Amino acid sequence: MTARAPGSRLAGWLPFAGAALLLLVVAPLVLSDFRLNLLGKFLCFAILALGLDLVWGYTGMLSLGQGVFFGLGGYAMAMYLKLEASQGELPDFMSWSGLSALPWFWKPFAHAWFAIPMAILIPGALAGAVGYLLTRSRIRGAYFSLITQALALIFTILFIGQQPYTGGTNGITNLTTLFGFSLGDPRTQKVLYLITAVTLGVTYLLLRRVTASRFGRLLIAIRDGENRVRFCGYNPVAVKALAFAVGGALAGLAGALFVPQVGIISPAMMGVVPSIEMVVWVALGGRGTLTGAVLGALLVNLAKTYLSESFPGAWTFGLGLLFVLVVVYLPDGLVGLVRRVGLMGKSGEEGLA
Amino acid sequence: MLAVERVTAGYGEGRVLNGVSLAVPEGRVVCLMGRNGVGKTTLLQTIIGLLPATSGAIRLGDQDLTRLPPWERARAGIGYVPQGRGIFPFLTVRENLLVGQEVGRPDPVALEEVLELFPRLRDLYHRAGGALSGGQQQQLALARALVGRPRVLLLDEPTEGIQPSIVWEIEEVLQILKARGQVAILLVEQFVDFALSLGDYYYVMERGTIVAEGATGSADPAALQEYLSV
Repeated sequence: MTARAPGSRLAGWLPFAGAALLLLVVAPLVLSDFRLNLLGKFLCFAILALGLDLVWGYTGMLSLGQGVFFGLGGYAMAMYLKLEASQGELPDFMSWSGLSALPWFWKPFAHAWFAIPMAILIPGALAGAVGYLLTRSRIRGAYFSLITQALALIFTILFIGQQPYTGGTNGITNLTTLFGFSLGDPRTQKVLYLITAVTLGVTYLLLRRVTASRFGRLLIAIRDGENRVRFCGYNPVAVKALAFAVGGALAGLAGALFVPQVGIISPAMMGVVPSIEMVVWVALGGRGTLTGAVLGALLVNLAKTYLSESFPGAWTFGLGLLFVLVVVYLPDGLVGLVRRVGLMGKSGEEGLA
Repeated sequence: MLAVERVTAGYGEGRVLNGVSLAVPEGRVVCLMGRNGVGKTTLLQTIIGLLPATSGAIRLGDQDLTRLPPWERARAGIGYVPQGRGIFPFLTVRENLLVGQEVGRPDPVALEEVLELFPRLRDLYHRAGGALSGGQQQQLALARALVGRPRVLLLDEPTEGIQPSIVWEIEEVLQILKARGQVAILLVEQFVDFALSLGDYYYVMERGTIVAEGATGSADPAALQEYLSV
């Protein structure tokens, strides 16, 4: 999308280095434990937003079911933490619901080496399968969005209904330790925050490489003309399924990092409304630009926190208003706005993607 | 080289092609003419595989393409330049051309050859496809099909709605391709003079079938115009 001017390579790294310094050094020194924990949560959302941007901004698949993949990653992690908290006993919600033994599919989640990869692989594989089946049947556009939204609804209902296995509406709570470190200890939380920040940075750099590669160009080509890509000699089905799988896997990773920092995962975090909120993050920041996805996730959640702290209940109106304003006035999001202003300033020069 | 044998196809219940047969010999230019709505574009889409043929056969050399998906037909050697250009607006000219070559198999020689044919594209190399004029987009679409080194090129009304100077440039490129004889061309065209000056052979379609055909040398432009006038 942008011409790479020689010499701008180093300059291109400056904003990234600045953001890294801010997140890794300044934020832990300046922010209170509570605020840092909150920022850690937002950074998880930013990881998810990067994946959603790949799926929507680059490949043109508007997923209204990203919460499902986030939730599955979160549940996989929570299952591990719950078993660690139960110390060999049956998890509390299972005994309340009348189970007398640990279900078979819970057993392997007692091991971190199983649970943590599964938090990424299960949502990734589900997304890949859904993406493959839908694109193979040439389902795209609004129909694709509707089916992914239905997916969010189905999973919420399923997880609420299967209380003995999932904890029902309450989700999985009362998580105490991770690898023996207390989750209530600010030092543990600080380490989790730093891990999240580094993961976000690595994800960003990887996706920047992917989107700049031939594969990335192919994603944009598919977004703008799927049939044209077909008669140019490519099978778009596999490519779209792969992009959707990566988006799902990143959502799962975000969920897995989210759970130990927040201490709970429940169906309320994987349903229709949070899934739409995720789309708003990317829309506000600017879809099709990775920086936009990260900024959108951080800014919308910051606004959400301050609005709901000062005017509880007003947030959903704020969210709706935000969405309308972005659609009408900022179709390319904040990054698009900055670019347009920049273009007016120094005409002819293109912004950095 | 390309043989279409008694092909029928359509959209859902509506049948558009009623047993179309035509042949495009190696290195030749064959023109397909006919009024709007007789099924010319439908035929091209059936050849490239965007529409399934309900009966009949499509062959390239001795390979049967009838049941292959579009991307495999493209790899077998069919290049397609759709009506209305169909370039990728958010990719640069260079990136558009790279998409025209198969993944992981870049062919810098083919790219260079195509840029020789379309020097204009070299000047626009890093411009977004969507920022090009209609004529430039048409050249880009043609170039994108050529960088994949097709054996047969399908062109759907390449002169439609394009300024005369670029029509002339496109005609020149097609003449060069014809003289080289490396690619067979099936040209859908409503502009009789353009078709007759380029083509070796012509077909005329009406209501989903071929109603006239012949060598362009012996064609009567007035009679052909009769078929095309509304």
